[in-house]
Amino acid sequence: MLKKQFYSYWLLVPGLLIFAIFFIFPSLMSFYFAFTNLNGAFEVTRFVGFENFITLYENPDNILALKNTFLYAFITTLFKIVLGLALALLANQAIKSKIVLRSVLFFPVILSTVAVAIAFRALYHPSTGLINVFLKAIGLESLAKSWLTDPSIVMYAISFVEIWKWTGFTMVLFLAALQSVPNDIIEAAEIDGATPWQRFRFITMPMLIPVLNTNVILSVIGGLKVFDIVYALTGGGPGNASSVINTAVFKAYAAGRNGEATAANLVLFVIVLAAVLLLNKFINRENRG
Amino acid sequence: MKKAFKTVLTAALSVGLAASLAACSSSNNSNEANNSGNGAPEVKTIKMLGHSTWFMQGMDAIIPVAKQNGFNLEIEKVPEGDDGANLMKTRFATNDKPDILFYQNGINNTHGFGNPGDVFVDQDGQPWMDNFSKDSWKNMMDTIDDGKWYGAPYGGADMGVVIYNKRVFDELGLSVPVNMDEFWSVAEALKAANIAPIYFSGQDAWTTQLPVLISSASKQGAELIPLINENKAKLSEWTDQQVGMDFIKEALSRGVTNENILSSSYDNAQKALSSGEAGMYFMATWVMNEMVSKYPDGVADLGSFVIPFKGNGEDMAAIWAPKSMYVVKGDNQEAAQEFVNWFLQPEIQDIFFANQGGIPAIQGVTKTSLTQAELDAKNYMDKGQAIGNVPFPFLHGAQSNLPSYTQELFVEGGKSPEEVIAAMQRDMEVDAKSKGDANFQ
Repeated sequence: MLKKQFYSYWLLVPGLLIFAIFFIFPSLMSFYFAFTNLNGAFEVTRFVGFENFITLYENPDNILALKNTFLYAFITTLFKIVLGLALALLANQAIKSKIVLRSVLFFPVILSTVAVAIAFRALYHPSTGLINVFLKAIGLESLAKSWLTDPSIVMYAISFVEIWKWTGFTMVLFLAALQSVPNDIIEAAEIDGATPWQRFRFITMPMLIPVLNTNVILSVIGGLKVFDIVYALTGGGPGNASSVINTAVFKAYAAGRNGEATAANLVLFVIVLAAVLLLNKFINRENRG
Repeated sequence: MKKAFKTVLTAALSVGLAASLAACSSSNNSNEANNSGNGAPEVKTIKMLGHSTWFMQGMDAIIPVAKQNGFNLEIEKVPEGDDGANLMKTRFATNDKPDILFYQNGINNTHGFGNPGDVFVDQDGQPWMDNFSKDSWKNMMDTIDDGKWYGAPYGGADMGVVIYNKRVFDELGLSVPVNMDEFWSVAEALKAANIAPIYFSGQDAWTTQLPVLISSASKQGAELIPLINENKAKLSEWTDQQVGMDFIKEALSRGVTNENILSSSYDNAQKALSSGEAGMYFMATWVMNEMVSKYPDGVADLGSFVIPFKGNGEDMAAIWAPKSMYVVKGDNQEAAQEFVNWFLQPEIQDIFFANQGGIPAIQGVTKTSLTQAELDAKNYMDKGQAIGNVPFPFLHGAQSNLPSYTQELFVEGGKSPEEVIAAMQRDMEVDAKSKGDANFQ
């Protein structure tokens, strides 16, 4: 009996070993490298203390990257949650085409990020892009902007692409939760005279809190860690107008200052950890309340 | 029954796998037998890595000849600019190195490939050097770290100039300007004729630095950069560098540029210039290789001149030394070095340059196919009116972010020229401190 118990633990060892070698160990090493002058050849010649962090802070381009990252995470999370929930409620209706609707809404999620970025770069082109061509055709020329080259709106344009691509994912999670809400409770509330809003507010919503927690945390983490969609769409440009923390990390790495890049990653780790812990505490407190 | 089926299936798959491996092995063995049996040179595979547009008509002509001479070239192409450079650096950092790296000349410790002495084979004393003038390319093709020569020339030298559409100039009765007043008059005349006077391909950040690199090519830079390297002078004292940045700002304020600069690409620029939609384009002559294959009809209409920032014939064309091939230390370095020595023989260089433009750095090359724009530019070199685009190498990464900084000059509310130079100074000091340079502590 005891042998059987230990046998199941032994089966975990290979997976844990790989996880430790390729994830745990490098993560722990990064805490050391962030305080060194690790270079492009992965050589450390001296311990530099907080010099890397000071360098990051003193560069105004990095401060802009930090602001852009927070803005991006906030906007994309807000819209992905609100739209995801709305679409889940729609897709949960007893309509004939609900299976097709669910598939269509989820389709952008499975597309390659780079392919999406290339398509939207063409759509966003100020003179030949379909968006501006359409706006001009319907007499809304004033709304036709330089979507990816105007520093004042480029982050919003990138956020839109992210929302378009990933709202289907949050929708699917909300949909799964909606389908687990017992129908008899809803019917009982209806019989008792509860309005649709009251049914949603007092029955459905409380039951969605756990999945809301999951969706918010996943969206915030994804937003703070963003790199691929920004790099593919604008490369952090024009200039540094759409740079985010991870494009700054990439730039430091490309310049051979791996110590600085690791320090930036450490800063990002702390930010993500703090955000997740705070959100988890806040949303779960609401749930317990 | 089920168990027996599984056993038979497993056995059948094992036999099939073993049979296919044996077949491959015998196929390889027969190839080797063919190679060694019929007197043909033993074929050595050389893995190469470089930017995609660096392998054009010249290399296309070389590949079959190389194969006949026992070199099977496997070329891996990466995108242009920083994207491709970062991919190459990642490959080196993860020890997935090619046999030959194609990269900018004068590679040093700041380029992100490691210490050149540890990674690349020193080319001093190699047979190809018998046809190469080190004096002509000193401070351009050697490495500042230890003064050694790790790069062998690939392709030709290029000149940073203004490429212009001669047909459009002739139709409008315009002539090549000799000072900035004339230059702006020409630009206004082009604008009045609904032709984009100066085309900027801002979408591709690396192209926006050309006016700055061209203005930087001066004796002032050659004198100041050694002092800057030792922190005895600041980048702001190199006023010729700022001239190019001020020029960009003035062109924008005068409205003598194309529309949607930041959405216009390097390819858009070539198309506009060859068709006559644009009058002038700041670029180096390497662009002509692409235009010869992509827009051949417009090539004969193009010429080049040196932008007259100083006027009175004092301006110099910027020279880009040839790109370099670096033989990477490793198991295949002997074969790679053998290829480099073979490739740089004058008779083989004749094949390359008969099919592709560029000014050969190897002496004894008799066949070239320079376009008119390249010939116009070469005149400046022949008259001694040209200097290296970075007239002395930087020890630390002063210009590593120049493309994105010059791109910001085109952005409303972006950095000013003074702010760009201050940012470059900061980048250089950060780089120097991280390397422990005592002059910057």
